[in-house]
Amino acid sequence: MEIEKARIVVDGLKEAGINFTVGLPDSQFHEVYEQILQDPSLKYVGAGNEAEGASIAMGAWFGGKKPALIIATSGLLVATFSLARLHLKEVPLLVLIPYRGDLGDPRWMGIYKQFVEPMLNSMDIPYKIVSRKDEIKQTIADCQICAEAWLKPVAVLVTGEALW
Amino acid sequence: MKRFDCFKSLAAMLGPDDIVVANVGPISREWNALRPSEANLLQVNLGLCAAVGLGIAITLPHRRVVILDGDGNLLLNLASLADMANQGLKNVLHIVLDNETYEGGGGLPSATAGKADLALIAKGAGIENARVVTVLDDFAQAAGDALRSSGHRFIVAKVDKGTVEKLPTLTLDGKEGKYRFARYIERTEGKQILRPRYTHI
Repeated sequence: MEIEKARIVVDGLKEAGINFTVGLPDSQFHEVYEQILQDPSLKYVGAGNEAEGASIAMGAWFGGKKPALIIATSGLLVATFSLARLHLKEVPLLVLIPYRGDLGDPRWMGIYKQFVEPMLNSMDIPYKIVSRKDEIKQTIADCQICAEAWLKPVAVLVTGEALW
Repeated sequence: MKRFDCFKSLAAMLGPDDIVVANVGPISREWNALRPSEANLLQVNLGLCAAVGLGIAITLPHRRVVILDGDGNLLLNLASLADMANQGLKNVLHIVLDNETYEGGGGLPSATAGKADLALIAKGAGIENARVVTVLDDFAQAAGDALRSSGHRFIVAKVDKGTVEKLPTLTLDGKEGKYRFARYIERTEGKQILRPRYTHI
């Protein structure tokens, strides 16, 4: 991933008002995590698994932060139970995922595409797929505004096509 | 040792501003009966209690956060112990009411009925102040010591199975509990948490 594209993702988070990040690293977003770690305005908390990460983010929201959960596509599946609880309680959370299984994926992981989007649909979690670099910032901003207004998790899936 | 007696002891020691995050089930019902308060975030689901408490404790470092956890609840997400330890928290008292049972699920034994020792696991995760108590006086002393000092304390209270009779029904559901707690934090912290942006509707 180019540093410049990682910068766009990180700037997009900041411009959207995100000030607390929780994650479990994914290789597709390595440079994003590196930049977040160096930026205290995005206070990063590492989680041992993605379900725990979603719950840490919920706690941070109660404390007045605007959190984002930044996890792998596979991690979304681990986070499912926590996200369901956030959804039931109506807690806003931006979920940012480097999306595997779509154009630009360095290795074919199409199986993810077979279940991630149906799963988000069945959980009634709105999502946007970003496949162009110049759509990254605006999509993050729009999804964060909606998460806050709707009081629910909203996901941004950034494909390899936008990142590489 | 009865969980309800532990809670009576703890409730008498807490101030009105102390935030309590409580596990779903009898823990929330008993605690609510003894210390009804907007500063309680109740009915936090299996595996999530410590993590939600962690998020609150990091973002409100000037507020004391008491986590009332269960053995089954914590066992579902042991990673939260390691992640809490690495945050260097100064404001957390994490109490596990360990009845060695999945009580809400019908009473089958949890791993702590066997060989698992949550205090040892917590120490291994990096939480230095971790201990087990089995009698009420020791619980009261351990909780009192923790509340008189800053830091991150972890207490495993070995309690009997079962709850007290005729507990008041917890009429609050998760969503109302969320609004109540968020409004409380808004009021006491001077922050807007719910829908902070302007909208035209």
